[in-house]
Amino acid sequence: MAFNCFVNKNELSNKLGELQNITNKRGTLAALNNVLLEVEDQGIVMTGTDLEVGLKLIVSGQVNETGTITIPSKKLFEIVRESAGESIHLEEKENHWITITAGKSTYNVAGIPSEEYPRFPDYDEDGFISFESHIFLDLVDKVIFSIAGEHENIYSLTSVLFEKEKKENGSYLRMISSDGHRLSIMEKDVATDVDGLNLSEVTLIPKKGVQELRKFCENRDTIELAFEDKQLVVRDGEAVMVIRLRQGQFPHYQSILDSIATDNKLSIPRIPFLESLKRTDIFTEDVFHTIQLSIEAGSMVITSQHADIGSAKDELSIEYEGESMQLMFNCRYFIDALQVMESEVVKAYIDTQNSPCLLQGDDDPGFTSVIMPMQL
Amino acid sequence: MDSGRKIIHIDMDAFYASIEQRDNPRLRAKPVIVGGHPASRGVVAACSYEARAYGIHSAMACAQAYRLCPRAEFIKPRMARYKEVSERIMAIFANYTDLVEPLSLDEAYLDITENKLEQQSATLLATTICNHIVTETGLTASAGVSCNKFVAKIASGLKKPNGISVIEPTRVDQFIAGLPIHTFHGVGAVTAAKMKSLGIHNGHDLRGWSREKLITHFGKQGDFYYNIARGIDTRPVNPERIRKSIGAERTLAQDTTDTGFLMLLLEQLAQRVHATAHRFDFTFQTVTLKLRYHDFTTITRSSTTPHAMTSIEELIEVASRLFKQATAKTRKIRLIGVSIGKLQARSSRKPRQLSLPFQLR
Repeated sequence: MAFNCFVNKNELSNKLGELQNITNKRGTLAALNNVLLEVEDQGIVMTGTDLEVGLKLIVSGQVNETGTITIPSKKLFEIVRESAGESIHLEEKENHWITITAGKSTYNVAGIPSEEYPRFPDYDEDGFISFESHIFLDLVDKVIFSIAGEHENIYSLTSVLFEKEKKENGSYLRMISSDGHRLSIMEKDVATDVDGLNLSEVTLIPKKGVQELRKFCENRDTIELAFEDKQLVVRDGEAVMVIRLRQGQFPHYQSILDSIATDNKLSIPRIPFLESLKRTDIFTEDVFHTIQLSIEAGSMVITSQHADIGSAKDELSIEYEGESMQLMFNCRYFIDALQVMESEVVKAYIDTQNSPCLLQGDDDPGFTSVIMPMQL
Repeated sequence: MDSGRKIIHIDMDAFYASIEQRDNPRLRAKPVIVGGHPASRGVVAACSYEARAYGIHSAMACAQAYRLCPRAEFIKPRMARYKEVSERIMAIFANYTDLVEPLSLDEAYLDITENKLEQQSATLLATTICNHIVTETGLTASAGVSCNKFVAKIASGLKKPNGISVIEPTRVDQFIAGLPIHTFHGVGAVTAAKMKSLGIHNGHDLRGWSREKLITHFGKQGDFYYNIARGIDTRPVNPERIRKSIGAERTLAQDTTDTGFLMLLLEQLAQRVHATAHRFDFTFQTVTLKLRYHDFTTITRSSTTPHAMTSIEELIEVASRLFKQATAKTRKIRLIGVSIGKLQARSSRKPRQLSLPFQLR
């Protein structure tokens, strides 16, 4: 049956925008660059998937005829975004041609029948728990930068580890990420009882899923969430996202934390430290972005050298009473961590030049960053 | 023919194992194997002459070496130590000539056509250098002396250990003519088998073939074979040769789609490549897989990591991943190869990013 409907331009544009990251992946299956349009009585149900993350959104509209088609996602998004007028008219013609009318513009786009489009994963309608979405925004933002790239050899590190914990004083959710050289942990207490969250022993959310989860939360105040055997389902009244979880083991991060001695402490003003690192980074060499930290009681000198450009030196007042230390780090690791922190002063615990450095801040409850140094 | 050059190829005898035996009297006169643990997937990096008597040789799987000689002493390589000794040996060479091209920690070409002692006799100079090495390090070396790299390298293996072979320019032709084809540098097992099927069994047979015919059968390598059959090897001794990559490949006796077999082969190739990298004390950041299909279409797939890799496990893992991604399992494969790039001498004092001391739970 050939469909025929009118929808609001802005709503369609926004929702197509949400789908773009998912549908525009360069892949092998041409169908995945399309968005599935299912025109039903209340409006259009739009679906996009890259087989790892699937997203289904409802666009309300005035429907004259129902029907189903798939259409290139990026093209449709561009047409809608650039169109004048408030309303968009979509109509299916013979041989799967779609005519899109907006104001005085008319476009004809070749659609592809929906038979080849992957089926949206099934999920259980029960077992959802409601959360304020800022909780997940915060969890993701504090760990997303240290997820390993796809080339990482410990495969599980390409995902975020998700954990829940019930302590005496309440319920906690936790995300942990590591690229093998640094580790980020973010823990948040939640008002909701987490008992109903059905986590498996090791719950791994792949990086792409974490990115899309973040985007989903960005556009909404509250979300409902359910973990199933192999997938995470997130939804609100008009959208559902299904994220495929990865299987595997995650390294035992707690033993790293336990091994860090906390008696040698530095207190460093966060913003001046961050700015100083950014300046010094101009003179670091690619890949490793090495800086030297020369730490003495009361001061820290940051230096870097670039074989072709020159060198940089910066000095910072810090609170420190221990012995002098010479350390080397990838300064990007510090920049990434300091950027997501909020405390005025960060506390750094460094024991020796070969052991991990732990960062925390009084106004960053639940956040821990661990960074391994470099060595000559 | 006679280029007038005098080239010495010096090859330390069982270098790593000899250092271990010298440093640790307990190991002397015993079969010593430097390499992985017998239970590991590692290979023999070096073994003492006592171990060789059991049929053990380098690049053999440690597990097999253990079966051949369970009482052998398995020693974990101490690369820093070998590197240190190697530097002393290279410093010895510098007393005689600046034209030294190290091939690895324990092997080098020396162009002594003009040397610092103004010694005319290459043979005498080779003896002097080998004696110098023994006095200063307590280790023995073997040397091959001739007028080019190709012959010098083969010659150094003739009187191992602790021996010097001289192939004068006038004897080069005769020497090459008598060499079995599989001992030619640059002729692998598959090429050797192919040559034998064509009736080429030694240097003399090879010489009977025209340049054109060799190129028809062996591609551009044919040109190289044509030249070396005539003792022509003009490659200079290059003191600044920088290795950009290390690779190994194998042409299969029969084209196949057998993934299990190919993976096994890939592992063996990776082990060979890794052994070479290890010998040079190189780390690597890039792994490249090469596949040639039955129809001669060739593909390469690379993966580069942000950190420097060192371990054989990592190399095999990346190579296998590339292999799984590259092959559709339907096309027959004719050649498989693996190479590593973005090499970096581990000791070049570049800072190294340390990893978190993770343990998988």
